[in-house]
Amino acid sequence: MKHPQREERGLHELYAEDSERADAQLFGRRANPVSRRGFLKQAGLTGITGILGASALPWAGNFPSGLIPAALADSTEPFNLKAYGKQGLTVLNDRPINAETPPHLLDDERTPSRYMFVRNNGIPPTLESINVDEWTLEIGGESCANPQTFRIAELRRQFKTYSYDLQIECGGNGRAAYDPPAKGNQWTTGAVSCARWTGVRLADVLQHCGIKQDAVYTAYYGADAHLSGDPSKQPISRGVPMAKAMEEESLIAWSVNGEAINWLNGYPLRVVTAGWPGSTSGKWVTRIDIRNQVHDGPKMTGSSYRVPRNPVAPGAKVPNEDMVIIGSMPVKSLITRPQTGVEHALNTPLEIRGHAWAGDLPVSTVHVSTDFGATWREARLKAPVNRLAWQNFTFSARFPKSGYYEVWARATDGNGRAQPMVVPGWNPKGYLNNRCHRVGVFVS
Amino acid sequence: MFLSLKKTGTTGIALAVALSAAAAAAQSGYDPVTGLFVAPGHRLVAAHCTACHSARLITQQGATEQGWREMIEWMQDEQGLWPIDEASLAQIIAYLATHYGPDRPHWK
Repeated sequence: MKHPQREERGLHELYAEDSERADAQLFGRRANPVSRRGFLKQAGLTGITGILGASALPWAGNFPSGLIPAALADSTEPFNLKAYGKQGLTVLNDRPINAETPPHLLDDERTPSRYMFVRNNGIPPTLESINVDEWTLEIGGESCANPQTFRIAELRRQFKTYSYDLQIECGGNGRAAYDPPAKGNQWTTGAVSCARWTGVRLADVLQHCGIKQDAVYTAYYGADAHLSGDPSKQPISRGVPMAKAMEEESLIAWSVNGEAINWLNGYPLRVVTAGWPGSTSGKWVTRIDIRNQVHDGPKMTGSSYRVPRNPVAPGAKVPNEDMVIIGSMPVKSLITRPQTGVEHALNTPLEIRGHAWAGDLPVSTVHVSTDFGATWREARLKAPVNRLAWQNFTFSARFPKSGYYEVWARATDGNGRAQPMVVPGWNPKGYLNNRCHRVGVFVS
Repeated sequence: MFLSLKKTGTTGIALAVALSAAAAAAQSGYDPVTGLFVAPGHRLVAAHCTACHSARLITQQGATEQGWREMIEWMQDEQGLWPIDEASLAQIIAYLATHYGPDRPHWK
């Protein structure tokens, strides 16, 4: 009768219902009623260390009540997408294909294609139907003075080629943590990547085709098919305001990390507008319009990639007119080493590694805590390879005695805004969850 | 898969296949093909919903009866989902709200 991961779900369910009661039921734990931290009775501490298989919980006094230890909370179910040139991704959905990357597979400073997450709204054009030599990109729209069509070879010949390391994160990365549940694929932490994209500047191509005075927004169109199979429907068609489109790093790209783009990530041609929801970076792109209004294609309206203008209570109904389009993504970080649940030898420093990014902004600092957030120390943070690339951080952690620890990381952006430790404001589709990432470490 | 088997000699095999599939479902509680929790209505859900997308898109969600109704209406209005008769719709929504409600009892 046992279902895989059923026990773990049970844990989450119990905590979701009443976290302090779950603490008591599962671990016999009662926290200090005032600070909501620590363990009032030794029995609870024994229970929690027993389940973790740790000899001790050195910062037990700081452990907030009702928090599931990260070593139990994180689980990944690797799935084989090898046929598509992917490796180790967790598949959330197979039609349309949506798959995310476990944190430890995002350890590279530049994400290899095989570890790049897949977020598809529709069905990609079949590989057999794609002829890279014949593929065309049409530029048009109400605010385009001289509509033109280019082959990929013509783009390469007529415009200067640029390469940038660019961070792309799905707007719904972290959705799984919202309560009540938000509709859509339940991404945890792995819908993010940063790789070196090569192509021509969107600005150069649009300017070449003539941008009229009244231009407001871009609109991409791709060759992916709607799930219903109805050829008159598009699965998604989004864009960005002209200012974002005209940035140096906004590309029409045909290559990533020096290779052709993976089929599931938009081969042979895609838009990359880094720092904004990944859905603004259209895949299998065949047309880009310059529009005289905010683009109104599928997934531009309603609750798609939009959040409430003003904060709302969890589960609230939000009228369409009170929703605004997501622009730059918020500050965030991810611990990519060690993998959660690692065993580590006491008396040796543990090297912590990860990345931090902040949409259009740079990251100014990353802080790390190994005592459940009681104290924080600054990590070493590298400058980005270029604007809109994620930044790598390292931290050398030492542990005073054996037992179960958690490593928490918190990034702060160039405007002084930091990641929240808990899930941020609820919104109907569960976007923009930038809470801190935690990994569990067993020291002995 | 066993509907096409007509000879009496193969009935035993067909029955065995049917029983083993049923046994697998009973053992796990989940339909081996779709992953949907086996309960009244799960076949209707598979029939109406998995024409366009896999059941994994369903099993990830947790919504109230109203939430599911709105999702279905949105799919009918904008995403090309066909009309569903009242009786089937009521069963589908009852199944989804019970087994894929906000408390997500079957979320993997």
